[in-house]
Amino acid sequence: MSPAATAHDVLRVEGLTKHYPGGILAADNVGLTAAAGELIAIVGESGSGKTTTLKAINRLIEPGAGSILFQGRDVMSLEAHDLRREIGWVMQGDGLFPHLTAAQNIALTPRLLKWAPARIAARVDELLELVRLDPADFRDRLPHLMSGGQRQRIAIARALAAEPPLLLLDEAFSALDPVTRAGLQEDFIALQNRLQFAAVMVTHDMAEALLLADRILVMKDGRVVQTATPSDLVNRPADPYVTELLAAPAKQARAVAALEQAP
Amino acid sequence: MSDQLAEAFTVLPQYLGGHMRLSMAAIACAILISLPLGILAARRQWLAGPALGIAGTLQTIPGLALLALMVPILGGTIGFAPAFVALTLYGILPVLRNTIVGLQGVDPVVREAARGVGMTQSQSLIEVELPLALPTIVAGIRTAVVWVVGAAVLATPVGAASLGNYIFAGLQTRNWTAVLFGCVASALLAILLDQIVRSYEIAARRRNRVMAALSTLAGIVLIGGALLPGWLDTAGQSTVAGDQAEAIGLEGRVVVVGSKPFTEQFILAALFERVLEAEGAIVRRRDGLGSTVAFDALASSGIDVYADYSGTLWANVLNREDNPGRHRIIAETSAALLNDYGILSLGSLGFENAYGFAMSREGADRLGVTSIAGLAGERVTIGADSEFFVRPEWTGTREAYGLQDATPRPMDSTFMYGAVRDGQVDVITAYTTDGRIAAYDLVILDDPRGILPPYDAMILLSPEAAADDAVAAALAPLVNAITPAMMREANRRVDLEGQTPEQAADWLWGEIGG
Ligand SMILES: Nc1ncnc2c1ncn2[C@@H]1O[C@H](COP(=O)(O)OP(=O)(O)O)[C@@H](O)[C@H]1O
Ligand SMILES: [Mg+2]
Repeated sequence: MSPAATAHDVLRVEGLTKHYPGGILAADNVGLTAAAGELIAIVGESGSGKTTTLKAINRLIEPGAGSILFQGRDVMSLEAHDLRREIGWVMQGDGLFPHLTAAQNIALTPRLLKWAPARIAARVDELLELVRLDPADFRDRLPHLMSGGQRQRIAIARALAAEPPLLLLDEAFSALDPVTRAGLQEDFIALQNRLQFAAVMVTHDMAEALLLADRILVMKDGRVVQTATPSDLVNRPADPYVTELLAAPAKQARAVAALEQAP
Repeated sequence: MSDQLAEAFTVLPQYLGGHMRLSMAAIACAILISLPLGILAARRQWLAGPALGIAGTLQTIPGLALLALMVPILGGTIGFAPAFVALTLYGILPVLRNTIVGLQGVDPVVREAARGVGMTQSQSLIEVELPLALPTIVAGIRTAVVWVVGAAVLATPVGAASLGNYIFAGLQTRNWTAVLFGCVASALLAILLDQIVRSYEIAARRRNRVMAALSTLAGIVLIGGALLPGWLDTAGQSTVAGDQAEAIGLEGRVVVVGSKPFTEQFILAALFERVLEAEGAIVRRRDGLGSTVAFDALASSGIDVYADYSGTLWANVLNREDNPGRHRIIAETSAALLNDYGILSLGSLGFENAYGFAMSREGADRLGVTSIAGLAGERVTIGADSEFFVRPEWTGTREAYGLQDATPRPMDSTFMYGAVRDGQVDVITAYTTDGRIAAYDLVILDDPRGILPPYDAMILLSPEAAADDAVAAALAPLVNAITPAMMREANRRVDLEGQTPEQAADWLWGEIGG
């Protein structure tokens, strides 16, 4: 399916193809778009090419064939590190720098962009408030003195620090316990509604994608098997594989519903 | 005892300064080489393997050998240069290995995060990877500090002043106070430097400016302290031949006096120093040089004067094994040294310090021997310095007197006199001027076939010193001035009475009638 291109797309990927040495075709003609305020989820089982697609966007992996336009600019026309300073990145695990405090972690990209120190300090406190952590308490804490959920909040704050128009998240919530995770998901959606950045989120959890995404890409063996809104995906699965992925959350929902109706 | 301690303290600035200059220069250079190399190699396995391999191999060479090997490699240069190069090589491995291991140990997730937030490669290295690898790298530097400061005592035999001067001279002159003093001083220095590096690391990790400033200050004070006497030392450095001023005697000229590592040599060096200083020379000492190191240094004018023995030169320099008699050996050796090396022999000091096969009186009586011939076929153990057993004298005596059943026991010459007295070995190859022969009532066995060559002590001048008559003139009163009895007594005073070589040299000078 070819993505419908519009002038205000923050991100537009077309025909992305990536071979790894050894003949592995990790991404095969992948296309996707994301507009401001939109959240796109990429779902698929492990090894289906989700991370490869995501990292090609900020060139943590050099894309092979295809075109990736960020705010209308070909990502290959920019210096890789300049590109990455404009795109927020939240990775699997938190990826915080263990020798830097929360504030220093958050301040990194603004510092690389040479913001004035006063502006950085104000931005750090603002972001800590945004991810609902008390600045006075967390500013000077080192990562190993925080819980997993708190670290992931710092990681999101760090990704948003330089006000990027696009945020990339790779299994950002996967390592958290269900309660922490639900709280963070809710806060994240509120944050996105407020700041109106575009987001591409990789997850192997279909329930998470159905809950959060505006549109979902289902990937299998490097190919996009369907791109649809959550309700279209549920009501009109285009492939037996999609049905299979939907089975697990559906089954869980039915089991919970059955218990609720029991006397 | 307290005399020896006071003596030890008077030379402390010189030895400690030399030791610190040497080890700190070597450590600094080792870090300058291995840190960039380690950073390059951490991401390039094709470089990491060979670099660690070479550094590791260098590490397995015994320190003493590595230092001594640097002398011929650097074309016969003695002193600071060979010691510095060898110690630098020694310090490279721990820093290199820990830099590579530390950088490779940084979590790949963290490295990807650095790229993800938009860092360039060098920003990632400086702001993330090096800080995270720092504790490992510092541990490597601390290892290097301890190794290099410890190994720097081995600089003495290649002619660089270090705390090893206490140890090597003390071992030979049985001055255990000096030995202990040298060991403790070098251990304290190692601990001190180690602690400075450690506090620096803690300061860096805690970003504690006060602590960083304090450790920097301590480092500067140490380095400054080490360098200051160095500048003073080199300020007046112009060797004899380079200086053509029309002075009377040796006024203001620098003469470098060398010695090999045993008591008699230390006393003779002290005597040369005294005589040269009386003529106004500024004397520098290079004590405890290895046997071949001393000769090579003289030939290249690294030192200006030392005493060596005709039999040693005959065998080691002229490569002769025959024995045409005492006077011919002196004459032929002198001629060859002048022709082949430009070294001037002033002649014999007047005594011989030969190898003599010695036994305790009791042991000799038990076997009923008075000559080496009596040892034929006996299963005796023979203690000697390690040099002896590779000299032609040993093979010569063994063949001539049928000593095939004797067992060689190489040991430091300091210990052999006590060993034969106590019956731990049956025979030793004593130095005939040693005071302990008489003191321990040892018997020297006759050499009826004249196999053991004569060992007249000769005053030798370097080609540069030989160009200046004043040096020869100053030392001339010592030619043929010392009888064997006088030298034995001087040696005895140091080895058995605990006098310093300087005190013994003063006594000798008095006897000579200076
Ligand atoms: N650096 C790499 N080198 C070679 N193969 C890789 C590399 N990274 C990923 N792959 C392979 O590419 C395929 C897709 O991987 P990935 O994009 O990480 O999948 P996902 O994120 O969906 O689990 C897998 O078969 C994986 O083994
Ligand atoms: Mg993945």
